Amino acid sequence: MSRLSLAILLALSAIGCSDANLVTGIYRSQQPVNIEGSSQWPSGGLYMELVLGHYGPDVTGLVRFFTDKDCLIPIYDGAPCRFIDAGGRFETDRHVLFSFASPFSGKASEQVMGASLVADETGDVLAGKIGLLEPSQEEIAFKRIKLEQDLSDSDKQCDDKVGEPGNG
Amino acid sequence: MGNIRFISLVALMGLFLASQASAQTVSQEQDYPFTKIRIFLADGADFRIDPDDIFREFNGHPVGEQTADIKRVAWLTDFADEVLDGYHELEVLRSHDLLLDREPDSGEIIVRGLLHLGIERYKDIRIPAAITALEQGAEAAMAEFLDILSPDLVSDIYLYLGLSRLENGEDALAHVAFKNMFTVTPGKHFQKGYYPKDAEDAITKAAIDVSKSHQGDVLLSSALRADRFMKRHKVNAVCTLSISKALGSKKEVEIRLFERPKRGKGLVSLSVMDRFALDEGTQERISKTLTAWASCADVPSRRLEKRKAPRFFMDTSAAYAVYLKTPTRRHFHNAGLGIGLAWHAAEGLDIFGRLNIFNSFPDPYKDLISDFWSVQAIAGAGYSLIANWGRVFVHFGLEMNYLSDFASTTDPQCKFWPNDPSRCDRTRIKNPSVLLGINGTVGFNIKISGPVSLNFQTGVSAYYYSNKGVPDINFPYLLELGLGYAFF
Repeated sequence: MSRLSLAILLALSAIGCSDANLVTGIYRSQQPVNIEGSSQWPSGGLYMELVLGHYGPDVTGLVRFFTDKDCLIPIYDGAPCRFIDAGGRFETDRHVLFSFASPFSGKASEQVMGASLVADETGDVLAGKIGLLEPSQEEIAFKRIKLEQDLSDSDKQCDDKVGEPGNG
Repeated sequence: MGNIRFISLVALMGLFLASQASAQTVSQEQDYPFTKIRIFLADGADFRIDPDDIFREFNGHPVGEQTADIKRVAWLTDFADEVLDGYHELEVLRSHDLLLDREPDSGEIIVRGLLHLGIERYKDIRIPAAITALEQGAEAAMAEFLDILSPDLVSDIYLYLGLSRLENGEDALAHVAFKNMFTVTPGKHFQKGYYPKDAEDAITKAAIDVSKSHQGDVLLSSALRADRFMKRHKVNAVCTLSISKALGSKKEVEIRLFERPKRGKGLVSLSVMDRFALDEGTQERISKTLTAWASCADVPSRRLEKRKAPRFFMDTSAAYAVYLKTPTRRHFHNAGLGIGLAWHAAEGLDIFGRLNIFNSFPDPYKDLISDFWSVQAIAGAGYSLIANWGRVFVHFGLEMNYLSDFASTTDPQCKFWPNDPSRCDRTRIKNPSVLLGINGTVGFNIKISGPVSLNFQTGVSAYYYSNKGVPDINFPYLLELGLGYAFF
């Protein structure tokens, strides 16, 4: 009886640690992100924060943009936040792809940005490329600062209107 | 979080199993499994009355005290007691045992009171009043079987009744009373000269009458009376032993044994009646007679009864369930506890009820927005086969499954923002709470010890109704393992 219980326990524990939910939480870029081909993108780059929910083949969430790493000052001439429009895994659970609108594009001329990021074994670090249409050649690293269970409703709020800073 | 829940469930199951094990230990300490049959061994009676020796010179014994002559039959009775006592399925009862069992307000008190009143009236020479009290006392004594349980008391009633009848000029009735006195206490003697000459003569005549009569069947004089005695004192058999001259010089000892009918219907029967000589071989003969009876007696352990089948089976188990059809893209697991009760209504037929409670574990894609509790209630009928090793059964029943807080979606927006209507279209969340359908289960119980068994069962349900339309979650497959208890 106890062996059976232990076996079930181990099996269910294994399911709980599945990579199907590995890339969930808040990730923040460790260096400014530069996007090639975007005239409005600051030359010094922007810091990005990814609030991601990873559900097997699906990835959703939002992206926030900051001008400063330490004080987390949102950008003032664009949308400080964008919802992820489409997201999912690519080949493995640790490789996620998603798209979102550029913070500087309006509804009339929306520029779509793409991200291709790969998580490490723990899911605490995401590394990959972000760019317009096609990901840039520059490798960008994101470090997780909040786990899934620590996410609050305020972390998931996003005002994606251009020119109305203050969210974040 | 899920692991903590599961560990809690396992801990609860462990506590339950430990309690079941301790209950099992207690059940193993049961006494001898058969009830003993109660046999009443009446005090023996020696009817070898010598009419010339009824009245003696005062030799230190109080008037009316029985002399050493009775000791011989008393000794034989004690020997019979030892023989019967050697059978552990027999509970041998003597007069004092049954007297001890009596209620404090029993008729014996009334009889003693009537005797006292009768003696007072006799001494006051109010003879008719004395006769009335003593007649009533005798009647009450016979109804209470005090002639068997307390013969000295009844003997005194008949003595004073006889004396009163004599005073009243009713010689024939006085003879009957004195004869009854010797029947109850055949070894009775009196101080010579204590009573008037006519009383001594009447008593002597009664002694002659009794000594010349066959008195072996006097104790419990009829089958009806024996039946009433046995029912009154809840005994299964009565054994009497007597010595009588009237049987002939070579067969003085008579032993009789009455038994109640084996199935509780009908009157008592005389199972043993043996007569033999009072000599050196008497003890051996008594031993042989009683041993022969005891060897074939209808004791519970020898009864060829059909093995009593359990009537109720209760079980508690650890349970696992998985829904074979789900609105989630991957299956999710459920663990919980189950409790069931089955009534073995007729041979092969069970009526059962079952309650299972489960808690869900997250599915890999988290299509379940949160974990949920489900309570399954099943009731129905089925077939079962009870064998020496345990029981196997097939049950079919109707089921209601209540899902508490079940919510499922494949929309990632609804998973990430479940409470934000601008991001999550609530119509994409499936949340039935009541499911109705049928259930089929097969299982078996394997006896561990006594009524305790190890239970395993597995089954599947199919739902046909949901409070949210066609059931999106369906066909739960169940596995249960636990301990059961059979009630007889």
